[in-house]
Amino acid sequence: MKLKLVLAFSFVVVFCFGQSKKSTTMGKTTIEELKMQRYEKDTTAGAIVLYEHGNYYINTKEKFKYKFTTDFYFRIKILKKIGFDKATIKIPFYDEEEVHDIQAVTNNLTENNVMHTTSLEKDKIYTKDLSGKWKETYFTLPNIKVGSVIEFRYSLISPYAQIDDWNYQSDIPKLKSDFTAAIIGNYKYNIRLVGNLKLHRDNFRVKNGCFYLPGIATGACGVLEYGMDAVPAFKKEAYMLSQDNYLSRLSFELISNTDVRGQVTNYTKTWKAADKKLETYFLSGQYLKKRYFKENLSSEASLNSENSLERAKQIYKRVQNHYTWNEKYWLNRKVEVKKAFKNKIGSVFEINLSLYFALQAANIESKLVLLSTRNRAIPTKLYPVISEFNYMVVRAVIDNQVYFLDAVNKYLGFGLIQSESLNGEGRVMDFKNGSFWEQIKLSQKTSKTIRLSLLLKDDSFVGDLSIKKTGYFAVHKRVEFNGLSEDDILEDFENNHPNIEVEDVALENLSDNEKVLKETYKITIETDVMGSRRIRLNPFVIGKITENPFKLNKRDYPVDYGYERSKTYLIKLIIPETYKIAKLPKNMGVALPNKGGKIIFNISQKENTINIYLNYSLKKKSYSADEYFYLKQFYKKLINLQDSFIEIERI
Amino acid sequence: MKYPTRILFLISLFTCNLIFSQENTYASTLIPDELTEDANAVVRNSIIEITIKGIDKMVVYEKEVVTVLNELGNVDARIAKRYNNDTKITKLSAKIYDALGKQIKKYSKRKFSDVSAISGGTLYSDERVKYVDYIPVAYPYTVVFESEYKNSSTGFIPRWYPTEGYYVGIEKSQYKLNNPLKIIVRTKKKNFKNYPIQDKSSEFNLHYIFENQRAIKPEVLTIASRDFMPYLIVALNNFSLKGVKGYASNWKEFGKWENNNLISGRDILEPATVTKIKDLVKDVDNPIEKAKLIYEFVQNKTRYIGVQVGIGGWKPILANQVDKVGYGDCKGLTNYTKALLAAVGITSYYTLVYAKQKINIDKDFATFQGNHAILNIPASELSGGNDVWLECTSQTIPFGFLGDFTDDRDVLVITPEGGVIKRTPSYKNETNLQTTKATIRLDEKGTIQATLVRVSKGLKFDNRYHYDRYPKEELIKHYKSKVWSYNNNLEVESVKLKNDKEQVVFTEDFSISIEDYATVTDEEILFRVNFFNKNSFIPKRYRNRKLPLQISRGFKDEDDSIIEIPKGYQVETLFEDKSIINKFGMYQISIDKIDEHHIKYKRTLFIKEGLYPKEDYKAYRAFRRKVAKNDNLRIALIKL
Repeated sequence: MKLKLVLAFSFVVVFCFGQSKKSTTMGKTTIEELKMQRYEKDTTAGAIVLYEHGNYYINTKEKFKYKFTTDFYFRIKILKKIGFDKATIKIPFYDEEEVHDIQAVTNNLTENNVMHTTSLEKDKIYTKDLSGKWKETYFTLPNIKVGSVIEFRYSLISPYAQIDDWNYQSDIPKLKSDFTAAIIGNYKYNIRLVGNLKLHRDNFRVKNGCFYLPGIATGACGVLEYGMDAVPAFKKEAYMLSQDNYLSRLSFELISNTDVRGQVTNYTKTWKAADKKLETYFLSGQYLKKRYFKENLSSEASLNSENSLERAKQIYKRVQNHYTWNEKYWLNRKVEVKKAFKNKIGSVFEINLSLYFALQAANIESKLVLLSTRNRAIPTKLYPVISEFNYMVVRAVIDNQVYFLDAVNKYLGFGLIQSESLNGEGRVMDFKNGSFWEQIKLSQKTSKTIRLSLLLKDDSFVGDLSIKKTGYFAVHKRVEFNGLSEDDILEDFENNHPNIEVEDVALENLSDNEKVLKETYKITIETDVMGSRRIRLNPFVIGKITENPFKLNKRDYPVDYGYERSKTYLIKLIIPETYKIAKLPKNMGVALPNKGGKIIFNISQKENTINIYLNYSLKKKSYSADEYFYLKQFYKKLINLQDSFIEIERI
Repeated sequence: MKYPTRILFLISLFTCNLIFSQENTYASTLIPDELTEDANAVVRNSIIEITIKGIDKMVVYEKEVVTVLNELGNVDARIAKRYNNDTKITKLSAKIYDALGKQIKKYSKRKFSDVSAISGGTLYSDERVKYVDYIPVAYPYTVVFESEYKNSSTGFIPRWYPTEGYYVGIEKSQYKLNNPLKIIVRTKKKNFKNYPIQDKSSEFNLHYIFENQRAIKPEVLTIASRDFMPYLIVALNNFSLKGVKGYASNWKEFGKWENNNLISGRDILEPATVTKIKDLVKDVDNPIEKAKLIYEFVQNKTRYIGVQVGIGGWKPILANQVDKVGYGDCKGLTNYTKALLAAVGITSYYTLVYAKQKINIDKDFATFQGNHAILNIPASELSGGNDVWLECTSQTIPFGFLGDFTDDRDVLVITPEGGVIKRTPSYKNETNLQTTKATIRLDEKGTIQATLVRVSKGLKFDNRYHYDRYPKEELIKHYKSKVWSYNNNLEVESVKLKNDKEQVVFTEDFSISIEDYATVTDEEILFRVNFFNKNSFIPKRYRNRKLPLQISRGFKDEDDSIIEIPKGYQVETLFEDKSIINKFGMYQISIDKIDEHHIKYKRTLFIKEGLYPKEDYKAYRAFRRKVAKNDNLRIALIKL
C-alpha cells in the first residue's frame, strides 16, 4: 500500500474523451474456459487469472465529481482446491477513497455442459477496518468448485492523484493482464516497469482536446495501454530480498501538477527538488531544535569530552537509552522531535533525527541518511521517490572515519544499524552540496567464537565453554537475553542442548553494547560410549549446523544476508591416559568464488591432547543466483565436516 | 522555639506520608517479593462485579490493576474491551502509573481506538474492540483499566479465572455477582480446593476472594492449566441469548431449548435439492453407505467460510442458504449435512464440542459451552453398534474420522428430546501406527539410493492425509525441510501418495537418493543405520519438576530396512540387539547380517499414553534420551 498524500484539486472540467468505455464489462466467460482443466505451463497452480484489466480515468459522472477512477475487472479460473482462497476478494482503500459498483459472479459448468451463473448478493459484501485510515471491502463468491470461473468488477474512486501500482505478477499465473489509462495533461507521472518480464502491449499517445475547462482552455491527455501475456507465478525463495524488487509491475510516481490558473506544483522530479522538500520536512526550525538538544544534553558532563569519538559515543548512548521505539517508521510528514523527546517514545525518524540534532549540537559532523527496510523494495536510483524511503540513520564523520549510527534499537553498538534496514545503498542528505548515494559501511564485524576445553573422564566430558559474540550476533543475543535471569538462560541452554548439563553460567558485557558479549558455561556432557575398545567422538558439541539452509536445486534471485559473518571454533580435548588417538579427521580448506568466503579446518595432536581450529566465513552480503550452487556446496561441506569423528582406542 | 518546629516538621512529614500512601498505592515497591518471583506481571487488584438486573439485562463492572515487571508482561496488561451489537460499553478508562506510583498517562473513553475484531477463519462478524495501544517507556509500570458494560444476553455470565495464566503473580482478585431479583444461579467451582479462596457468597449473591498467589511457571508434557488452576463458571436458570429467552437447569432441558430455538426448522431444503439427493442414494440400501455418499457430496460442494452476526454466532444459517452459496461455517455446514441426511430418512444430531484443545463439555453443568459443531449419527445395528461422527468443515477428511481436532472428549448431542452428553472416539497408542519399509543401496562413495514405503494410520494418518493437496514442489520441499531435515542432500526422486479414505490409511511410496550420506575414509565407510526415522525428541530438563507427567495419545513406529553394502567392504562389528521396555512404552532395535552384502535393521518405538506422577518425569526423559542416542547409532564398513 502506497501512501496517498496528494489530494487533487477539484476544478470544473468537462471531460469529453470516453476512456470509461474502455473498461472491461462482465459476462466474458466462455464454455472453453469452463472446460479448461489444467494450465500446462504451470501444473502446480491452484488458480489462474484468465484476464485482468485496470482502467484509469477521470470520472465525469455527476456523483463522482471528476474524481480519479479505476475500473477493475478480473476473470479467474479455479483449478484446484488450494485455489479456493482466490474466490475471497479483498479491496483495501484509504480514507476518502470509495469502492463502487461491485459485481461478481461464479460460473460453473453443469452436467449438460451448460454455463450456470450464480451472482454475489449485495448483502454479502462487507467492510472492515484495517490499520490507520485504511479500510477493506471484501466478499467471497458463492458456489465455488474446482473448475469454476469467477468474474468480478468494481470501481475505486479516489480524490488522490497517486496512481496505484499495477501488478502484472502475483502468486498465481496469469494469461493476460492489461492496464489502460487516460491521464490528463496537467498531471505528470514517471512511469516505470519493475521486474524482468517484458510488456506485450506498449502504447502511449497524446490525445489533444480531450478535456476543456469551460471558458478557459482545452487540454491534452496521455492515453496509455500496457499489457502482458502469459505471466508466470512469482515464487519466493529463502534469504531473498523483498519480492517487491522482482515482482513485475507498473509503477507511477507523480512529478507535477498544473492547476487551472497555470500554477505548477512540482513533486519529486529531481534530487535537487527532493532535497529541498526533505530539508523542510526534517530541518525546519533546526536552530531551535539544536538548541533544545544542547540544553537538554549539555548538562551531562560526559557529553562534553574533548575527544570527538568519545563525545559522539556518549551522545549516541544517551539518545539510544532515552527512547523507546514505537515500532513506527516514517509517516511522510514533518517530524516532531521535541515532542517525541519529551515523551521518550518515537518513530525511527524521530529517534534518529534527535540523534542528528544532538550530534550537531555537540559539533560532530553528521548527515541524515535515508533507507528503506528489507521488507520493501530497494529505492530506485532512476529518480527520487520519497515515499520509497521509510528508514533513517545518521552518518557521522569523526577523525576522518565514517560511522553509520542508529539509535532506534537499544542493543545496537556504535556503528551498526538495525539489520532490517540493510537494504541497498543509502541516500546521504547533504543539504548544502546535494544528496548522494552511498554504500552503508558497518563499523563492527559480526562474529562468533566458541572456545571449548574438555576433559574426558569416567563417563563424561567436563570442562568449560565460552561463546564470544560481536556485531549482529551480539545484538540478537542481547535481545534474546533481555529480561531473563541467569537461571532462565541456563534452563534455555539445557533445553536447546539436551545432552549438556550446565553447572554455572556467567555473562560479561551484557549491557555494554560496545564490548564483546561473552557467555561462559561450566558443562558436563554425558557419553555412554566408554567401555568399548574403540570410541568415536564428535567434537562439535555445540552450535553445529545440521541443516543446509539451501534445498532448492536452482535459484532465480540472489541470496542476501545483509552483512558479512564469521564463526570460529577453538577446541581442546584431553583424553585419558589409557587411550590413544587412533584417527583424526583431515585438515581442510574450502573457498567460495569471488572471495565470497572460506572454511579453514586444522586439527593437531600432542600426546593426549587434541587441538581443533575451525573458521568459516561468509564475506559477502549478497550472492548471485550463479553463486548459489557454490554456497549450497559450502554448507554441505561444512555440515559434513562438523559431522566427522575423532577415534580413540584403549591401549 | 525548637519544639514547635519539630512538631511542625512531624506534622508535615505525617501529611506528606498520607499523601504518599494515597498517591502511591500503585507503587511497584509495595508488591510482596514472593509475588514477583517468576512473574512478568502482578495483578494488584482485580474485580469483576456483575449485577443481574433482569433475565435480559446485566451490568458488568471490571477493574484490573496490573503491574508489568518486564517486556514479556505487556500481554498481561492489555487495555482492550471486546463488544458486539448486544453490548453497550458505558464506562471505559485507563490510567498508567510509573514505578513510584505516579500517574503518567490517562485515557478517557473517547481516546480508545475502535476497530473490527474479526478473528481468523471468519469472513464477517459484528465483534469489535475498543483498545489503547500503550507503549511503555520504563518497567515496572502499572495499568489501571476500568470498564462497565450492559449486556442484553445473560447466557454468558463472565467466568472467573483468578490465577490469570502463567508467569503472573496475584495480590488480590475478586468476583462478585449481585442478584437482587433472586434468579436461580448455578455455579461450578473447578480446582478450588487446592487454593485458598474465600467464599463470602449468600444464597443468591456470589462473592469470592483470592489473595497472594505466586506466579506459576508452565511445564511441558503435563496437564492443561484448566486441570489444576481454579476457575468459576456461573449460569442462570432463566437466561436470554440475543433476544431469545430460555430456561434450563440441566443438559436435557438446555439441549431441548437449543433444539427448539436454534436448530429446529433450520433444515429446510428446496424440493429440487431433495430430489437430487434422493437420486444420489437411490442405488444404495445401507443407511451408512447412503450417509457416506451424502457426506462426499457435501465435501465436494462446500467450503468453510464463517459469517457471524448476532445470534448467528449460535444459530446455523438455513440449509437452503448453504445449498445456494456453497459455503458456511461449522454450524451451517453441520446443519446442512443434517438436513440432507434427513431428506433420505437418516436421523442425525447437531453436536457441540470444544475443538483443538482437548476440553470436555462439562457433563454436570449445563450452560453455553463448546466452540465447534460436528454431526452425530446415533449407533445402530448397521453402523456396527457405534456412533458415527462427522466433521463437516473439511473437504478431505474421511467419513467418520475426527482426528485429534475433536477426539476423545465429552460433547453435547442435541436431540429433540433434549441434550445428551456423549464421548467421541479416541485414537490411542498402537492405533497411531506408522510402518516404514525400506530397501537401501549404499555405494562406495557414500551415496544411497532407496525405495521406501511409509504407511500411516490413526493420528499419523491425520497428520498426513492433507499432503495430497500440496502442489508437488511444496510437497517435496516439505519432505526435505520438515520430515527429513536431518538428512542433508536428500532428494525425493519420486513419490506416490495413496489416500485410502475407506480404510483410513495413508501410503507414501518413495524413491529417494542421498548423496554423501556416509562418511568415506581410506579404510572405512561410516553411516547412521536409522536412515529415515530418527527421533531426536528429548524433553526439557527440570531441576525441580512440579507438575505431573502427561503423555497424550501415544503412537507406535515400526521400521524395517534392508541395506545393501558396496562390494569390497565388510561389516566391522554389529551392535547387539537393544531393548528397553518400561511403563512409558518400548524401544527395540536390532541389526543382523543377511549375507555378505546385505544387512537388516529393525526398529520399534512405542510411546504409551498415560498420566504419571511428577517423579516419573526424569525417568521418561532418560528413556527419550536413550532413544535419541540409539537412533543416531552408526556402523562402520571396513574395506577389504
